[in-house]
Amino acid sequence: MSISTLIPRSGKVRAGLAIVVAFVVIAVVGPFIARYDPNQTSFDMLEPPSGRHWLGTTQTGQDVFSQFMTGARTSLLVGLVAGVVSQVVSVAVGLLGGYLRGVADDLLYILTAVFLVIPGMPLLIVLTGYLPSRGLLSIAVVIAITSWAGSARVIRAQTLSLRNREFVEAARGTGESRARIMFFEVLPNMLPLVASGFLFSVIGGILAEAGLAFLGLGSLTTTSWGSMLYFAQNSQALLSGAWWWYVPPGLAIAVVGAGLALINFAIDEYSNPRLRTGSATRPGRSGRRAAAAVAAGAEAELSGVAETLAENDSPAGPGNDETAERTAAHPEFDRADEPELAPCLRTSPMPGSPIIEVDSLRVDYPTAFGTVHAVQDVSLTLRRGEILGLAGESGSGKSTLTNAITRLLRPPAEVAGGSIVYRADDGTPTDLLRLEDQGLRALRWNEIAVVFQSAMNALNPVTSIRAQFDDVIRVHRPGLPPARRTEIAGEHLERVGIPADRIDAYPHELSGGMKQRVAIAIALVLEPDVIFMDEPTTALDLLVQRDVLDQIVRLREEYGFAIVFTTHDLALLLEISDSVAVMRRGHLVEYGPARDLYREPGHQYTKNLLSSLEELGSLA
Amino acid sequence: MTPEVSRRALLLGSAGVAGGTALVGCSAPETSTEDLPVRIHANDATTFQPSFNPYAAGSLQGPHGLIYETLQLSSPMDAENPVPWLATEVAWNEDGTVLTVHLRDDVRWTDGEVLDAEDVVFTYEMIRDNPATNGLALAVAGATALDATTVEISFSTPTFVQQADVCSRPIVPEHVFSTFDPGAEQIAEPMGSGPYRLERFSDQLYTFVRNDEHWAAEEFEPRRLAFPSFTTQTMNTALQAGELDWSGGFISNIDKVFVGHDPEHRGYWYPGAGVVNLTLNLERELWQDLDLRRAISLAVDRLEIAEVAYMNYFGPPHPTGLPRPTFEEYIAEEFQDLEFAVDLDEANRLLDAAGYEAGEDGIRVAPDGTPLSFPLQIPSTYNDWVTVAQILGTQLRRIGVELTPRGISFENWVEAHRSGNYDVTITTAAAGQNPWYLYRALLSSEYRSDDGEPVTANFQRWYDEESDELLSEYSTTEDPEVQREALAGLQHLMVERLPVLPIVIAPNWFNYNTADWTGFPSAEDPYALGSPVEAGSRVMILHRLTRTGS
Amino acid sequence: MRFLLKKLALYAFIAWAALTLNFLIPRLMPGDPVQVLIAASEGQLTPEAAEAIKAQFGITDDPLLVQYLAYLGDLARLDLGVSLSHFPVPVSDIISGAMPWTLGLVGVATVISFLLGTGLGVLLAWRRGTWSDHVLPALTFLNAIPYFWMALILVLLLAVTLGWFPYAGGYDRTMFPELALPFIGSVLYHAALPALTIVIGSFAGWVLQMRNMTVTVLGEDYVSMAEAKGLPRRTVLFGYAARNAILPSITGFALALGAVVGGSMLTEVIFNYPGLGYTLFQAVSAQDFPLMQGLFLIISLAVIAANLIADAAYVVLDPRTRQGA
Repeated sequence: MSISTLIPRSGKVRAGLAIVVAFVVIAVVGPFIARYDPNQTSFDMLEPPSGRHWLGTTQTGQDVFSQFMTGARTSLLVGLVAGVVSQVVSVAVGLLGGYLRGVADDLLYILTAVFLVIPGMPLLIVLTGYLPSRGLLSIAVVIAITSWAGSARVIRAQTLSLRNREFVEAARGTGESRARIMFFEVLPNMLPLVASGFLFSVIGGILAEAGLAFLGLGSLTTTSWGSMLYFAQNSQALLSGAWWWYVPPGLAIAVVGAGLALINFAIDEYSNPRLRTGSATRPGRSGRRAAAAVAAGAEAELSGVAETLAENDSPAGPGNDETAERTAAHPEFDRADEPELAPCLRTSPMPGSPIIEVDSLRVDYPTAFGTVHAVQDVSLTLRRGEILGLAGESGSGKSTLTNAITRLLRPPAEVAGGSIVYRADDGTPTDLLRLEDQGLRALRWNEIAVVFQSAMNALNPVTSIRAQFDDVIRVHRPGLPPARRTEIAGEHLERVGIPADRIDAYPHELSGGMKQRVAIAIALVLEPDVIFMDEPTTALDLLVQRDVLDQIVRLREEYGFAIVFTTHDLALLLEISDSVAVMRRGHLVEYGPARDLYREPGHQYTKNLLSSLEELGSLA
Repeated sequence: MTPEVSRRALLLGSAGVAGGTALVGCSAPETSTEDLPVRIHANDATTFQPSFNPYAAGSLQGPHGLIYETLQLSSPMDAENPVPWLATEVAWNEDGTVLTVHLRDDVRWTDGEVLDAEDVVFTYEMIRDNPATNGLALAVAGATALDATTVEISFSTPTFVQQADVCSRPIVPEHVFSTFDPGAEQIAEPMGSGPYRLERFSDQLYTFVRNDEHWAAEEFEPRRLAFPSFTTQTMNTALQAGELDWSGGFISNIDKVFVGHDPEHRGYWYPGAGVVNLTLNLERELWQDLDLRRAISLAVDRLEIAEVAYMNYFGPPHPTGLPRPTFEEYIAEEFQDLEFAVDLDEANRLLDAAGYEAGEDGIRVAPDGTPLSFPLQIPSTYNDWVTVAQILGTQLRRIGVELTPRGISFENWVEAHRSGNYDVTITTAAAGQNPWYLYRALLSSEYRSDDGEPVTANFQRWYDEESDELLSEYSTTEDPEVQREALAGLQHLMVERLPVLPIVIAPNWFNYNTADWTGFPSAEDPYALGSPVEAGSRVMILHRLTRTGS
Repeated sequence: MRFLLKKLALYAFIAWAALTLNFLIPRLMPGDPVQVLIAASEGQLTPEAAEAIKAQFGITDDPLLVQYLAYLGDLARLDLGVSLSHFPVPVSDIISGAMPWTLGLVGVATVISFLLGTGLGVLLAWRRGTWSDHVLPALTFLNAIPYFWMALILVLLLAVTLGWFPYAGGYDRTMFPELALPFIGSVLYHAALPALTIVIGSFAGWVLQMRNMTVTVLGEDYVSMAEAKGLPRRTVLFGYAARNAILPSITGFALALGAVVGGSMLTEVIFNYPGLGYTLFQAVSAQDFPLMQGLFLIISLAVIAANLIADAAYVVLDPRTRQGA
């Protein structure tokens, strides 16, 4: 990871950081540059802002500017202490519960639930009602007591998912102590969560302190933004029109809160790349500079960015890890064959009329580092009944390519050039890229269906299988009565080997293999011309994988549809495909009949792939 | 659950459902001009609970005096001349232990029963037998009816000075109050004998309507009184909007917020009703040094406090502690022109002479090594006191005494000053019906406690034989001359020996709007205290109110 | 239904914890409520009078366990004691008077805010990458504004300066509650501004949460599949994306009720709205401990009940929780 990644890319985050830093500076130096003692009363009562009193004076002649500066320290300090205490408690509870499991976890879980459910503000008010001294520290601690639970629950969940990961198992294997594993292995992996929880605890702390002080339940002899508002309210600043008294503290609370929340955007986006917004569509000055800075050695990282953007299909954290693992697993492919060799494209001798023609397609991903060309100048032709295997490592652009053809690209990815043409039975061409919404919808599933990588995620988890057959039939065959729709769905289920009476099951009630078959059945239901299959068997164990593959091949024979089969498993492709396309870094490096490609790989990259497969004995 | 509450809950609960169909006409009571209510803010509340028992701690304002009448009406403004009310005449025996009361013979409860001597006897025996109803700590020994309109109330100690207290107890109907525990009964539908009775109650408003059967009904011009619910905050907005005729309570920046919107009709009058003192714990040896107390007093600029913290709504306190103008006539001749003066040189000289040397940080150190640096404990919810404390801190710093304002919870403050667990704090003493009450609360050993038990007055713990003798002299006679002399002695004590340091007047908050009703008391016509929470004054004021312009 | 039963057991436990917490807080904290009452009465109460009042409040020197059992017994009879500041009005009367107001105002405003917020969140997620992303910082700011400050500003602008809305109370002070159109109109009119405050103050949070969830869900294969199926946009968005994205919000909704009750407390204070929040504020200001306890208990139980309802809704919405029935 280079230093440039530490510089926030998003304008929101920059603004947030600027705000928070500014207020921290005010809090630190404010009391020294305040021109008056904030409590010093004077006879300049309720004066509007002037050169002498920059923010005017209060009813008792106190300088609002000085109070504001001093109040910043109090408010931020309470927020900080509340944030720290609350995070320490939630990390302790969440980590212990999540890691130790068992009775300890049950007890801590119930404790968390109690504090989560019991309303915080009333508890806070009741507690402060009894508090002997209303010092800042006690207020902050009480705020922390009432606010740690939400974060603790999140941390527990994350600990549960981390505790069985390899690196933790490894640490356990080397005999590290539990405490060490928890705090040095598990904890560092959820720092984003802790940081996010901390930010919100700080906001909560500042707001709670202000609320309490405003109700007169805080420490009125300490100047804070909340107590300023309390005095303003009690001195009828509003009715007297003394806006300079009640506007600055309220606004400051809102601005600081917003600043902290903006910083949290960065954390959110870091831990969940899907949340990154389109601010990257306009590569700014700094973007170019950053791009220049990393130009030399960061190509791999670019493809990493493209990868996360392209493979918008697996949960964030693990997805990143997998990418790293995959890349790490095949280091020799990475730079072995620089410079690029010319791609090896052989005209396909496949019979049948073309159904999809891709010509010079280019797809770009604008990122903060500059534009990533995820698909560059790719041309393909799919014929009726053909199985086209699309191979390539993660991030090679194969998913981007199929998503472009099926029009499922997500912003900010965009087609930068080229054309995709669909040809109907009678040869009528349709320009897929220019197809309007309605036309596209009519074409979809009728002609082009998709089976997604993991059926685990491809089926809507909250509706029944029946509903997921039903909606697509209803939309595309509006005339059919419900009973007939159910009948059709049942037939297709049986065709993939699932009893029709499972139609009312929910996805979670089916095994992985069954789900995949259901996904295939749904893809078949309108008898399309082409089915795109994106690694349809990767998530399945070997036996089931074989089973599903056989079924696909059988069904293809039965229905005669064409298949675009995407996988990084070249061996598998060579076995089932008519022709194979190999992609690397957005380029089509090899394209031709499967047999030719196996016998006589034309591109160095393909050769490497094949030889490594041979070493592994996969191509016996 | 009382019928009122359940009925209300029912109404609200079903309001949303039946809303579309119900159309029962206007719900606001018709208010013709002659029926215009006097709108009074006397409770700080956003919702009311139907509680009109004058002897229960949390009762709403109004029943005392207006529904349940008293023997006499009296106001500290004119304590010597109480107005006869249920009693046409009262007389003490020689030693002040028996009060003979002659009652009117034309008084009826609103249920038709006659109010007679038996009801009065019942009321005072109740006060004797049920401590919860004896909040004023009257030493009632017994009460006997001599005939239908004459009652003798006897006391176990001379009670001359407390006549106003005795005669301001609400008289309750025996046939109702004998059926429950009078101190703990919630009375939602009060039944009394007074010039008004409860008309309607809701949780945001209750109204009284004139009792036309009352013997003085014709003397009360307002036919209806409305008590809408406002809190301190909303009251200000309501006042500004002209929605209240009569209110108590502190209003910040009143000239702009309230008076300025209609200077012709709106005004306020804040006579003193007590005194706020800087209270030094005299059980701590340090504070027993009179020079130290005097130096502190010389350094406190009471004018600044009155101006900055209280916007000059009232002047500084008098050195005798007697609130002005309420008790002005009691101030001894020699002190009449006396005012607190600021003299920092003299204060510093006193401290230097007494051996309080300034340390490096400018804070003086007592001869025994104690630095003169103390937390000034105040309840953190008293926002005016926070300002006072801040000003005091600044002022005393000038003579090397450091008082750091420290806000503590109200409860802790109560605990601290009652059990003597403090160095410096601020406390209030109420003026009471006459100066004896004030001085008793400030100076009497009656409130002494030796075992750390909390005390209810004399928080600075001034235990002095001379003070006790003077107080006793005053209270055991009806002779004005003897009383005046005793009072002069007490004033001397306050001025010379500084048992407490008065810093601010505790005023009687009263704001009025004469757009609809006139006749409120004022500095020019100070016939009563103006705050609508004073039972006696309240009746006197309503007695005087007339429609504006008529 | 094992999921629901487990939840039921958990909430029963939480309710018990709330009851016990409610019992312990005043007994573990320093101070003597009766002293405060005596001080607040400002009369010169005699020690006897103080003792008498103390007895009436049921403050005893019994062992904690005996007091605890007595406390549970009282609760079983719905006896929450007697208010100090409104003595001798029973706490339960005060609470039942305030409850409908809070349920009406906070309940309705929260539901509006939730619906508005989640709806807008889905929309913003769908329009991601366009101008709509610039709304986010504004929403963040809105979300960080203290409720009470916004309430103050709204009161000043819309009620005091412009006079469009009443500035305080639950209904017109010249009216008495009755089942008539003018009164109901007055109730709605008075609720408008506080409700607006609560909605403005809280909907942004829902938008942000729902947007993030929906954006995450939009990346799921089942949404891509729904799109690939050629389903109408509305079906994809609501039938697939929002239908899944809302699940965490349902749990959040229940939990947020606690926060909303807290935040709306401040709103009730500003508007002097006669609900539970304002009553709690007054109870704390007046050191009315029995009332404070009663309110805390009722608010806690209400939030617990809301959580239970939300969990039931969750069971309806998410078939996965029905597993192992």
